[in-house]
Amino acid sequence: MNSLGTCYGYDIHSTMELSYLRGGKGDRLHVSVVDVDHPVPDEEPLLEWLPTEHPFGAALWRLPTGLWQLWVDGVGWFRIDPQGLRIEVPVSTDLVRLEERIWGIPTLLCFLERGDLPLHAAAVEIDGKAVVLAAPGHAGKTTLAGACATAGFRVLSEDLTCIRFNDEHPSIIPGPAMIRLREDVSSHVKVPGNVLGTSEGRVHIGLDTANRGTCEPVPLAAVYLLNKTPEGIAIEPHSPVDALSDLWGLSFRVPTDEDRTRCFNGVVDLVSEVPVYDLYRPLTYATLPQVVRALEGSVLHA
Amino acid sequence: MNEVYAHAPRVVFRSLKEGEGGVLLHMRTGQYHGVNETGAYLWEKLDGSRTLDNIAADVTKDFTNPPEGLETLIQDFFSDLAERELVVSESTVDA
Repeated sequence: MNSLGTCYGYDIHSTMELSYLRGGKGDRLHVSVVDVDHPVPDEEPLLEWLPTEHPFGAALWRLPTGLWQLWVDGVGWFRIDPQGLRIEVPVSTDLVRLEERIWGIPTLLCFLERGDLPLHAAAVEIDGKAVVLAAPGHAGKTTLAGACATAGFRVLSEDLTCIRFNDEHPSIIPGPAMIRLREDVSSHVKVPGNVLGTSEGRVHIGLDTANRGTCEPVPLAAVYLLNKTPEGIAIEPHSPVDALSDLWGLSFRVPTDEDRTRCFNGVVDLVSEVPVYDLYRPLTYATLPQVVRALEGSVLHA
Repeated sequence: MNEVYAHAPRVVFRSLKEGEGGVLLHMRTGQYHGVNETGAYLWEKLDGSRTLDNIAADVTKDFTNPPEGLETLIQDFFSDLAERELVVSESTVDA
């Protein structure tokens, strides 16, 4: 299998055609297509995402062998070996959607094993520093990340951010070079890159290859919690204890004491070591450039 | 103030930066609880054998200006934690 590029710090080896990779080096992660219809495990899944509450339905099991098995509605079975750094994916004709699923839970389980913290958030690079844009779904984080890309900043991750603590300072490991804008948003926010398709109400864009960079860690400057306000743009410090509540809700954990403790420690480390701000802004296209400038000013003065 | 409390099982504590207190996570409920710097100090004093009187004596020794009604504040703090199942009452030591 060939080395195709990097994602979340892994050097991806696969026979698949993948569209969202970056340059550089990393630990080898094998992604292979396996035409097997795995049986549903006997036990209840550890986690389940209902299609009524999430963009798509999915369920996750931990097998007695230590491997993980993931079912994704409309795509099929994934098997993940985080220690062996192997991901098996189903046969699919929709390669864009398949690739996007690979860079979700399957890769998350690998970098979780590596000791990194996953967060449901976007991240962009401004002046050599990473900033996390955190908010629950439908709060405009992808739109703001897209506006940052339009302004010339590098998007490090769009929906799943990988945070590393084992260096001197927390850093972000860049994820897939993609952005999925809502169709109505894409006519207002022009992100440099290639449109790979439109599905699930979103335009799927592979970011401009010249600006993808590598997966080298980017020092994390701050976390911004996105808030909607009728008018005016403001950035205000957020107390660590209150931030913990917001970020806990955006973190990934399986329902075991061990994993809750791991996640708790990770989120506490984050709010202890990185400033957290509330970013108040109106949800209008006209003000997006001003919001990006306010964000840039905040990072430059941090 | 001769009650003895201990950390409840399945509760994790982490202190934050100096002056910002700490946080407690209850594994069973998945809920977390913030405590201020004094609360974090009191939490770390619990060892399952020391009475609240012992802990109040520590506060008097370690803090320059302990608040008035210290005993009541300590009693209320641990009663509140007990209601949230973050500490358990171990025993009452006979005076």
